[in-house]
Amino acid sequence: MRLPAKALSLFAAAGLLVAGGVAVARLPHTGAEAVRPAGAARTVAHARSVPAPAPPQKPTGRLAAVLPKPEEERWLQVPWRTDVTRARAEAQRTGKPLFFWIMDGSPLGCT
Amino acid sequence: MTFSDPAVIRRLQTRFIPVAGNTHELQIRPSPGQQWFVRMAFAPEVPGSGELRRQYRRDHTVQGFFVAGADGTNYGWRNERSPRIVARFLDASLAAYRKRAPRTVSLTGAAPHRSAVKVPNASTSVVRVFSRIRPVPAGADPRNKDVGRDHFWVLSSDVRALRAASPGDGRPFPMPPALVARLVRFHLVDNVRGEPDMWTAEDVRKADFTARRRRSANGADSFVFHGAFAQRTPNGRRGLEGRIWGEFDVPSATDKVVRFRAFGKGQAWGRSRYTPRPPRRRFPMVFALVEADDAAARTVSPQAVSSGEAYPELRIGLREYLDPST
Repeated sequence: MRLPAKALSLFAAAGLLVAGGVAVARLPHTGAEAVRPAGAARTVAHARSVPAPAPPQKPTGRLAAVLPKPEEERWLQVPWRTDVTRARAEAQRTGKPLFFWIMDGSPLGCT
Repeated sequence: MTFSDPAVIRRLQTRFIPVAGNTHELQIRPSPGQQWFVRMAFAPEVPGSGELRRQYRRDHTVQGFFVAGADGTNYGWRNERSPRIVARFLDASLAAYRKRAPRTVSLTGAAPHRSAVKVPNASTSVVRVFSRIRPVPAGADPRNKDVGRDHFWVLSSDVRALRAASPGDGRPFPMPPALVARLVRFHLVDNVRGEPDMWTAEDVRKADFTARRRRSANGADSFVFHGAFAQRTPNGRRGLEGRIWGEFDVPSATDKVVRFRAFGKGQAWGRSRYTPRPPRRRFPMVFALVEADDAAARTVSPQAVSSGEAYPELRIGLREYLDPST
C-alpha cells in the first residue's frame, strides 16, 4: 500500500512512550548507542546494585487506557540508532548496510 | 504494521544497522550529516530513485526507507507499508550491497550528527503526550485506531513562572501563558493519522487553565491543574474542543518535573494537510500526558521544535490572545 506523506508515522505509533519506555544500552562489541526496551537497561542497573530513586507509579485507569498496548510496541525490538555518523562507523566496522527509516516527524518520538 | 512483523524485525536485527531519522534533521536543516544524507538519498539510477523524485516534487519530503552503505552508496528506496513488500525490499537491497560492497571511507573527525539535532537541555522536563480517537466511530478509516505521540517540554522557566504565580495558600491561579500556549497549540492536536498543522495563535479560541499549588510531605511542590481549550481554523473546517485535568510534582530544590500525569478529552473534527481520512463529522479524542526520562526523551524533540516552530519562545502568541487589550 502506498503511503501518503507523513503517513509512515502511523505504524510508528507505539510503545516507546509508554511508562517504562526505553533506555540507552551499549551494544556488545560495537560501543554503539541504540534505543533499547527498558528491560535491558534495568538489568544493567540492578547488576551494579546502585540504588535509584523510586520511579513514579505506572499510570492507571483512564490514563493507562490511552497508552500504547503491548502489540503496539513490537517495533522496539529493532535496535534503532539515532546518530547517523556513529551508525555509519558501525556499519563499516560490521560490514552491514544501513537501513534508514525516515519520517517527517521523528519515528522514535512523534507520530 | 511494518515493524511489528517478525520477518522484518528479524532482518533488521541481524543483517542491517537500523537508523530512525527525521526529515527536518536529515533533509532540511543544514549540517554535515544532512549533506551526506541528501547526497545519498538523491543518488540517480538506483531502485526507487524515480519514485522518490516524484514524491519529493509532490510533497517535498524524502520520507520512506533507504538502504545505504557507510560510504553513501544508495542501494534503494521504498515508501511502503506492507511487511511483505518491505521484506522483499530488504532482501533485494542486501543482495545489491553484497554484490557491490561500499568503499571503505575515513570517518574519523566526522562531526557527530547529534550536534545538529535539537535536544532538551538538562533543566527541561519531558512529558510524553499520547492521543487516541476513542471510541473510533463505526466505518472510520483504520488509521484512526492508531495512537498519536509527541514530547512536551516543560521548561525551567515554566516552573519558575508557576511558583511565582502561585499565591502559596492553595488558591487557584492562572497557569503561565507560555506553558499553556505550547500545550494548547502544539500538543492538544489530532496527530493520530500523522503530523498535523500546528494551531496558530489565532486558531486558539479558548485556553482557560488554572492551577493550585500544594506542598507534599516529601518536600516537592505539587501542582494540580485544569484547563478548558478550544481551537478552530479560521474557516472552521478543523477544530478541537475539550478539557484536561492533571497534576505534577517538582522537588522544592529544583525546577525539574519528576512526575506528570494528565488526562484530556474532547471533540475534534476535520483534517490537516498530512492527517487525511479522519472520521466523519465530530469525533471523540482522549489524551494522556506522562513524565519521561529515557533515551528517547533526551534525544527526540517535540514535533513543533523539529518543524521549526518557535517552541520555547512562544510567549508572544498566546499572551496576545489572552490579553484583550492587544
